[in-house]
Amino acid sequence: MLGLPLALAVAGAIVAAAGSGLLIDRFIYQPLERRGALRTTLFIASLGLLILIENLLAIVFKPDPLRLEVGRLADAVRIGPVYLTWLHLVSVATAAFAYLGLMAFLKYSRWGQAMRAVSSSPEMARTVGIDLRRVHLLTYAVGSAISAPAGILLAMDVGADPYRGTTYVLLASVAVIMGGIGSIPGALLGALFLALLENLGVWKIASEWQSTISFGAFLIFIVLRPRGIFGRKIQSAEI
Amino acid sequence: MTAYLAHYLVMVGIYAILAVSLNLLIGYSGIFSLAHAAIYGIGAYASALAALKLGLGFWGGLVVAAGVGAFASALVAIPSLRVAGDYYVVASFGLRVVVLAVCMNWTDLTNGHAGRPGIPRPNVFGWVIDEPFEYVILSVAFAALTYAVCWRLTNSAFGRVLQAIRDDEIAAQAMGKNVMQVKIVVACISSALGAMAGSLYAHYITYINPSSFALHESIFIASLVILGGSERLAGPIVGAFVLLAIPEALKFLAIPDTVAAPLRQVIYGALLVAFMLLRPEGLLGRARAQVRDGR
Repeated sequence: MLGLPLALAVAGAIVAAAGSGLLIDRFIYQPLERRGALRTTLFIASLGLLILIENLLAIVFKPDPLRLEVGRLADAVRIGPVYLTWLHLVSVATAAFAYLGLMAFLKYSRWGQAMRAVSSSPEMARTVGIDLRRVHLLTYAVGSAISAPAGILLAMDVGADPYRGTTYVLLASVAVIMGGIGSIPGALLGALFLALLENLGVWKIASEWQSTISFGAFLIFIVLRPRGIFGRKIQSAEI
Repeated sequence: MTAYLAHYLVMVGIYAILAVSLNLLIGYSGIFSLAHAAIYGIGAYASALAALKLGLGFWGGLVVAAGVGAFASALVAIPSLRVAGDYYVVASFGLRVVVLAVCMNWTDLTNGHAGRPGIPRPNVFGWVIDEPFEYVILSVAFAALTYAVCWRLTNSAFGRVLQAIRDDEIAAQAMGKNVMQVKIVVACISSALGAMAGSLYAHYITYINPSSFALHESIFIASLVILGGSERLAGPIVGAFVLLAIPEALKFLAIPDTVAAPLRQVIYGALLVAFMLLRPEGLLGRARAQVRDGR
């Protein structure tokens, strides 16, 4: 709409996503947490935000899909017997970059280490002088920022519309549970497995049943291995 | 105007059934479900198909709907309630996706996006309910029945086990209660009641299509429970009266349809967030000391 160069648009999208993550945490989740709200309360607030933001987008941008023109990226490439588009390769590269970047951030940077410390023991982290609130804010910002490239790639591939997000939220939660909650390699593997399954499924069964296939797999999976591929053994008491 | 009011009351009755039955899970057992619109849809389709294909009529359809609803719920509840509460949210969300896929794509049975018209009106002992106000009586009667069932259930020994599980699952288990079984049973009862609301809807509108049972419906039904107050049985009914009045009020403002539909959702979303921040116990709720934190 504004005709900005792509690089600027991508940067803008990431900043906007990180910023909205920050604002939501600062003005909604943190006040709730400070009051010691139940997890359900937080969850309901997040559902409220989901439909609020989704429909605000629908009012502002109209509900029709918006597609980013990608030009040459849509051209096909052939790798051995497989035909792909450049966009597909860019998507895989982006995912790999996001994954490696996040892992490096968590492992080597001060803030990343603080995040891991808070995740393993909030009390201990506080004792050694970590500001829990700031780590929290940062976590939301980083998490939101990483979701932006996925949105951009989606807009380039199939187009973006305000209501598309929920399906991906479901698929992402399924991938996280399959991989094991709290494990980043697990989430990646979960996503890979889910994507493979959906696409192999489509090969034999009509594509309308994609979501049914992944959900069926999810149900079987949680019966066989409820803690996910890399997860710690979960106890219902923790949840 | 009277027909308009009658329609509002019928819908309040139907949504009261959905919300009161969902509250068995959310308020009394501490299980958050996003599947209730799917269950509602299953009930509507099961009842409509039983009437159209098997010629079972309204009462047969109602029984089929309750049975199929409870069965679908068991299918999701048995694997996911075995593990932990959070998984059930995802699984119930998934049930909605599957139900929607079946309604859209199994065209021989459901006629896909176009939906199924021509569902007969209910026949109560030879008396066909087709006047709006007659339907108000039927819908309110079923809402009262649901309320009575839920009242009886929550005030029984079974209900006390439910509340014990909600407040402290481990303690309930330590007292020798079969937590998993109780949870699965309550999920099935809640769904059987919710599916009956679907049946009432199908025979009232006489036409169903998948879009009536989408995700925002699930969130809407949950909002009725939460905003009305999940700590009391009557809370969700108050929620139904208030929240169903909002779209009617919006009709008096001259807003184009393309804006009015998302605007309604924006209002529901904003209400949910605001209530969580300011009054998490809902309109009718008793303030419960929020001392239990997940971690």
